[in-house]
Amino acid sequence: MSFITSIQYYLPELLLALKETGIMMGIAMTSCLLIGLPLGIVMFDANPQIQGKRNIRYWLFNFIVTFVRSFPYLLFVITLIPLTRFLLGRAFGPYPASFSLSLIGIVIFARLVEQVLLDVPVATRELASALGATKWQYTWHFLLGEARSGLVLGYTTAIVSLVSYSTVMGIIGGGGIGSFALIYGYQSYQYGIMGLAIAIMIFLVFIIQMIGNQVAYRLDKRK
Amino acid sequence: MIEVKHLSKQYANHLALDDLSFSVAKNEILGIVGKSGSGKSTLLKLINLMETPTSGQIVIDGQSTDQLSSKQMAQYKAKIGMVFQHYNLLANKTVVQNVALPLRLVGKKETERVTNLLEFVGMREKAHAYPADLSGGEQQRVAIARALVRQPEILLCDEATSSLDEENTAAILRLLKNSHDTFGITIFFVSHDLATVKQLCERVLVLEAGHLLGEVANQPQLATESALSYLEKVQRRLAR
Repeated sequence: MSFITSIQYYLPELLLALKETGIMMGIAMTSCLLIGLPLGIVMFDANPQIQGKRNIRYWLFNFIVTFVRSFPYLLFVITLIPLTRFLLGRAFGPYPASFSLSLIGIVIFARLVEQVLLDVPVATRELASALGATKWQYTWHFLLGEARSGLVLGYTTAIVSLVSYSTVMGIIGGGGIGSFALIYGYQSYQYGIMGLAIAIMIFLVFIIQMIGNQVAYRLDKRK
Repeated sequence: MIEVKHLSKQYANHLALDDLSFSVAKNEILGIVGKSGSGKSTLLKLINLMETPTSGQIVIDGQSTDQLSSKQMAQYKAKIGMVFQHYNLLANKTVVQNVALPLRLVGKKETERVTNLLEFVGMREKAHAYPADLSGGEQQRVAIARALVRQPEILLCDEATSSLDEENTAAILRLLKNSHDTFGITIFFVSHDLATVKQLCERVLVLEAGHLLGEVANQPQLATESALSYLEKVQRRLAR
């Protein structure tokens, strides 16, 4: 089978795989923003550098984030099967697969948010205090406003990591482009198809990174 | 009338202010000089409620700041403007957004007031520039406009000219004097440079290691020989 014929033959599977990757990535990216960003802000707020002392709140968040990030991802997905089934009623398919992908995305982005916020100059906090800003105002107008380009770059990095993590979701029937490359490429000795799937992933990552860099550059007025 | 009564501030391993007492009349320009670490900035932070004193109190118009409710505290903060050594402008906001920020925090807009203040500090034409596009002197002008936008009664200047060259220092001092004359505000002008303080202030307090070393009137009619020689001694001490 020629390469072109192979593509035509596997096109429906390829499109389905892209759709599955889209579902998993979409859910995980949204979770990153909605949960990872606030978690990162809470971690920043609890950070001993900010609080001036060690505290149990930070220890707890730090432990959870480090624990999840250090877990070998494939084994993390498998370990989560019972919990995924308990919470979602089933453990296989792109939607349940989004659960573990979201968890890893949340902790990665939370850590990046914490680090980006720690780089906001102390003078910003000093100004907020002098102006009598509330905690919410400080977070919104001062912290996030000043860290916005770094946050966009952090979010981009998290998304790129998610693309990579999403490729192992075949193990729980999540499908996706990585799974397509393995099943219809590697295991079927269709190395051209595998190469195509890899090229699509590389292209995706380049596009994501380029958009992230552009947005961050436009938002950054510090230069 | 602002009264500082037996004010002390103890940090973990050093005493920043030790039993400091003095008073400032409304509309006065008070200079506070001292070496680095003498407690000048701590004093301003205590006045602006950015820090809480270990003991003692600050009384403004008969009301002690340690008895303020959170609502009163917000009202009190609105009475105070602060100018920092490194301007502390938000880099991702334009000049006009920086100046309007204190108003946004209290839910006000008052675009005209912001525009007038930008005109007052000579920055109207750069209203939509970002801080990175401005010189140090221009950034400090914007910071002064921001400090004045809530119509404060007190302006705290923490080493406001220390990062500027001679020309810009003179311009900022003129602007502060002008602000004082136009808006009738009380100014606390903190600096390690006595020469700068002497150009602006009517009275000078000298701090050393958290203690009030002395004070001297700087008005020309009160510039007696003893006062001048005292200031010269202080200058030599600061230079060491």
